[in-house]
Amino acid sequence: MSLSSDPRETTLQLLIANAPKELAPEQDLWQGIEKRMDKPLQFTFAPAQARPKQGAQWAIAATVLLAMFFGFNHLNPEKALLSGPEQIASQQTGDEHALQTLLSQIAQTHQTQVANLTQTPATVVWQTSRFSAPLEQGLVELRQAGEQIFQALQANPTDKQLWQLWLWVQQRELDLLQQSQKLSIQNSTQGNSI
Amino acid sequence: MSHFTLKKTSLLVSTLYLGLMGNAFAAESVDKQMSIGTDTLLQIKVQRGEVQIQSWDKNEVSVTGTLDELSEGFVFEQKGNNLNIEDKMPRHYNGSDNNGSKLTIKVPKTVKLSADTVSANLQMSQTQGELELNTVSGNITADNLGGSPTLHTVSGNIITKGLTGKVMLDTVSGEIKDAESKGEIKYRLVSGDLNSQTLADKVKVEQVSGEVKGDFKTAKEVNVRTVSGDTQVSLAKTFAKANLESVSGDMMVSFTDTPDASFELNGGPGGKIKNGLSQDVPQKQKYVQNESLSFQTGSGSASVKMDTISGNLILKKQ
Repeated sequence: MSLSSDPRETTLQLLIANAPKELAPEQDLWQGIEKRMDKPLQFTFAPAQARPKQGAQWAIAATVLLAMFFGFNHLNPEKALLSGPEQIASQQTGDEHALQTLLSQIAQTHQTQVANLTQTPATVVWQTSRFSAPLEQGLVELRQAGEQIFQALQANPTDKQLWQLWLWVQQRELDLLQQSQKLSIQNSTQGNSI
Repeated sequence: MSHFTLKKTSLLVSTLYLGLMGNAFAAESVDKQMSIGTDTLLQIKVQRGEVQIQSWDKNEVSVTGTLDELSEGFVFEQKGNNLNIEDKMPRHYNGSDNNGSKLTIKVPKTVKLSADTVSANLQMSQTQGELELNTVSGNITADNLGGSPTLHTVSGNIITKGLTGKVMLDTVSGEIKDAESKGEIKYRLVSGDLNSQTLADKVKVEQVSGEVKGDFKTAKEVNVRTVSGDTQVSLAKTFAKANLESVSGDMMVSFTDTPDASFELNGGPGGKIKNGLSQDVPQKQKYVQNESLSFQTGSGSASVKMDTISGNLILKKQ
């Protein structure tokens, strides 16, 4: 008896043939994230060795998302056997899971970037200057806001506006850290009269 | 006794005289001129004091005034494509800003210019070339600048009027007061407050904890992002797009007249929506706290989007 003569096998083959080749999210978040990731980060004062590392981490995050989307069917062949509504529900769960993973990856990458920026010797000088107060306050505000948005995103990972706001808050934090380092370098030559 | 008083008086007079002489020697005068090419970048570096930059009709740069009392020399030289002006200072110093440089620099109207100060205040007017002004704690006052000016301070205030082009005003804790700017403007602040009465077509605000007050009555596109600072924006009847986002700050948008716009407001998990523009009521989702509101006024041609996580979103008619 050949395999194709089995009615269950035929149904299975039919379902596999009719299954979508790839699963796309309801909202196309990737474009926004990709655009943001493509933007040059301008690490003027960041350690030179940190740059490729940061790029690699972004690439890892991107790869994870792509792998989750494009490899979804292949890694989960049983999904092809599911009926319509079940498949949609399962797809949504999968999409959200992929976005949750991306969320964690980006949060981790951001922490590494912040750590790289705060570990430079120049920061010590900046922290002793009188300009540190507004910058530190701004950083505290941004970190609290980042945490708040992160929690909101965990509850609702498909909210594009939230993603954009979260990425903006992260970028502002990095910008402020870079600005603080620039200031520390200026201050180091100015004495204590400024 | 009277002899002693006389001695004391003469000593005081001598001290004052020497002090004045000292100051006269310290505040060295400067009066220099140099012609400048159209492609030359004028770079100005002054640490403390007051710097006034004015335009004139000559293709020359002139510097007049007095140098810092601790000045280690005045630089006024052409190096490649740059014309450098610098009041050189010691690496470390103490003293008051009153003893700083007091310079008036006259430049051609279309000069390309970059000025950096530490605590020196910058005053600039009536130029058309590309320019970037940076101070740490100095204030910047600028009026009628074209050529897409970019102004940065850390704690200094920025007060501007009539700037045009692609304008960027950036501060950390300073205050920004802008009026009658045209073109495209971006305000970037951390804890300082913004008070804008711009006439720009495109307005972008990035704020962290300071307040935003914006009268954007000629703006076609408005983008405001803030973290915890409160925002009050007024818009005209006709515009194309207004996007406002906050994390925890309250945002109020008021209209002089009911616009033709479609509204989408998302109150997030902890935010509240108050609609004073129409009778539409915010809806609560079934299983979560989120409040949201969508409605249209008139033809709905413009778009207003407001998002928050825990702030209040308010729509109001003036």
